[in-house]
Amino acid sequence: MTRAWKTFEPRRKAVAERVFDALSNLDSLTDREAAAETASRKVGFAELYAYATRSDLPMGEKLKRALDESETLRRDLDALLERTAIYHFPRVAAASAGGVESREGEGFSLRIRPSRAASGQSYVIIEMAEDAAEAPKTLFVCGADQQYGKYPLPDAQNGVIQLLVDSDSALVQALRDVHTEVFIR
Amino acid sequence: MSHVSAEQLVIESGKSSELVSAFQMVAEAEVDGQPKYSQQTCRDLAKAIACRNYSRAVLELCHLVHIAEKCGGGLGYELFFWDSGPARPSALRANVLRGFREGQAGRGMTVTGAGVDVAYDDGKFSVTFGRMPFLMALMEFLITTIGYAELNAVLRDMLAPGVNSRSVSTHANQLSRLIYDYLKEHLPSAQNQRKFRRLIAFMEERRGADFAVDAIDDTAVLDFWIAESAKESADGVDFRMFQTVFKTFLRLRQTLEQSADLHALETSFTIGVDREAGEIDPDAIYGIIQTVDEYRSPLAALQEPPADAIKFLNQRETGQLELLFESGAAAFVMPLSLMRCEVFGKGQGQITQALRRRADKQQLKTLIANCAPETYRERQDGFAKLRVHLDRVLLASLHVLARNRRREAINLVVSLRPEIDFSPLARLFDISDDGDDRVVVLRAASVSDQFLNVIEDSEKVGPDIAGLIAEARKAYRGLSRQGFGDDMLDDTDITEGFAQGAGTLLDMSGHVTAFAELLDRAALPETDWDRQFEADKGVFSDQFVVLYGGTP
Repeated sequence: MTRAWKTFEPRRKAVAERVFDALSNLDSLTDREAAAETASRKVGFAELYAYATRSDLPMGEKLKRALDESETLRRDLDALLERTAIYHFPRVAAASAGGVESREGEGFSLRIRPSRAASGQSYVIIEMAEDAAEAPKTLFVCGADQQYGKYPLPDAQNGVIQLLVDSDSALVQALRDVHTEVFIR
Repeated sequence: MSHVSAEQLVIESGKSSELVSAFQMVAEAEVDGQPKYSQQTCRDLAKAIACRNYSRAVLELCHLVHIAEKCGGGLGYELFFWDSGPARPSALRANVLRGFREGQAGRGMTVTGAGVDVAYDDGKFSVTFGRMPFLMALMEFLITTIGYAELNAVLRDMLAPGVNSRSVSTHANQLSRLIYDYLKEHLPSAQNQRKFRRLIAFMEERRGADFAVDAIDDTAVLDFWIAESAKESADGVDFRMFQTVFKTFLRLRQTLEQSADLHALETSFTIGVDREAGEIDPDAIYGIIQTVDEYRSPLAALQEPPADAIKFLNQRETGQLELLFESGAAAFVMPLSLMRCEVFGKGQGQITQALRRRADKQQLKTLIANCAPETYRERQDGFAKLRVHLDRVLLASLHVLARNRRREAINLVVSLRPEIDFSPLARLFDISDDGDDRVVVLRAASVSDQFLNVIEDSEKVGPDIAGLIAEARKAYRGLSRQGFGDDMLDDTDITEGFAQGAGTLLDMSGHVTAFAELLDRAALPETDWDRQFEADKGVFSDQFVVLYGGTP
């Protein structure tokens, strides 16, 4: 059907604009050249999910950079960690700004104890209540500087997990910081 | 020309590229080294976004989240969406069944052959396995644009104890509002509107206010490109590339053709659309876009399982057919523009690539002087070769299908050689002659099976059919590509791929043949393709000098 443009009523013209808009949008979304320009710039949720749920997967450079750059992505990771964690120790509401040596939660406690045998090293000890459903495999820390740390945990022995680390390690520093959130999964 | 501030243009451009980037994240998502979503799923998602047609899909997605939450046990719906391999109906069915077998499914959920039925206290809802890949892609898109934290807050609230049909709908509406807000900000509709109005203004100026679709022709496309390509992009719309101009006019043609008939729009009654207030139903727009996009579907269909297991077309061949299929029926009314795109459009692409590489003046001058990677005649030969290739893969498909006694082989025999002598079959099946001994009815299943059992036997089916089958065998053996090879012949998945692919290839062959024949008899301003090429070469190289500098 061939109709002259000037015979299009206002509603038909409005429809035509909408159809043209939709077709142009479709072309923009599927434009290969634009795709090549934007490709691999961002981190997908799948990478975030894998990082949060797979204990053997360290944080890659690309993910680290993306988290540094995007507040939304950090918020998403926090939400995901909270969602998938067995337990979440929030920031410590300390009266002073000093460091904390232990955190207590429902069914879990976490403390730092200097090693007597090895100077300069400390134990990070996670104790679980007897009725804990499953033993955690990974410890995540998220500091006030929005830097994330992920640490695989050894098997629990009689409800206790112990990690031996340098006393000045990033993990110990993060755990002592009242502003750090801790997730165990 | 409408006035738009530079700041506004920068914001528009940034927002729309963010949207493109988000869509590409979905399109490029991989699982175990393979694409998570098929090309068709991504295309369907692009159409839904482009038309803002997502409300119904969001409702389905919310029900799927409910199903996924139950399937994932204590691990949440996320497990189903992000820990379940490529999103294909069969794989998702297996995941759902696994979840149910392990006793993690909720009450009121039933797995059927087609999908999952959910019985709520206040109603029922079904999500099909076939629909799930699209819904998963939509979820991925929503996570990328709106963010997991915000989305999850809505979904967690929805999944609270006592979830029912009404609460799912309420939360789906909440999500739809979030998408509405995002797309309002990020779809480049203002820019598209300016583009549309510029094209209309041009057509009115050149062809008069009473111009109709037929006035959008090869001359209009070339005249517009020459007039507009060198203008500074004052309103964010850039017409430098000839291919962009051609595609934009193509879209204008399709728009005017489709909008001429408002009947379909006015008879659809989607709930919530206030027609009195001038609202336009997104479902109706989506329907129009589906119709326009059908032309592309053969190329996409070959990328879908089971046909994707066979390399019917390689990357180069697909590339040579893309514009033709994208153009649909318009290719037949603007064949010269399509050829200009294929030849000089590609030449322009080489020039812009050289500029990105910071080519020097001499290199640029050489590229502009030789601005056609091939002549029209060579491109015409290219289409003829594609025709031959399509016939060859169809013959090869016939070999696989005949060997595996598939009834699709009969359709192929008839389609490939409609003039073939079928009369020996009348004797074979003792079918009475109704006057025309070339007409033999082979519809009955048993007759078809008998025919396939003897299809290679010249004495029974006659020399024509047996000869065609021998030709098919030869074609198959002559192809050395994925899916072709004697060790593949008995693979049931591969056979299924040939059965599916052959139908698509027949459609494609018909389209390419018709276009190649049109090229042979096209009425050109310069009488033949050789003269047309020489004339156009001068026009394009002159304009490239204007656009990119250098001397002709």
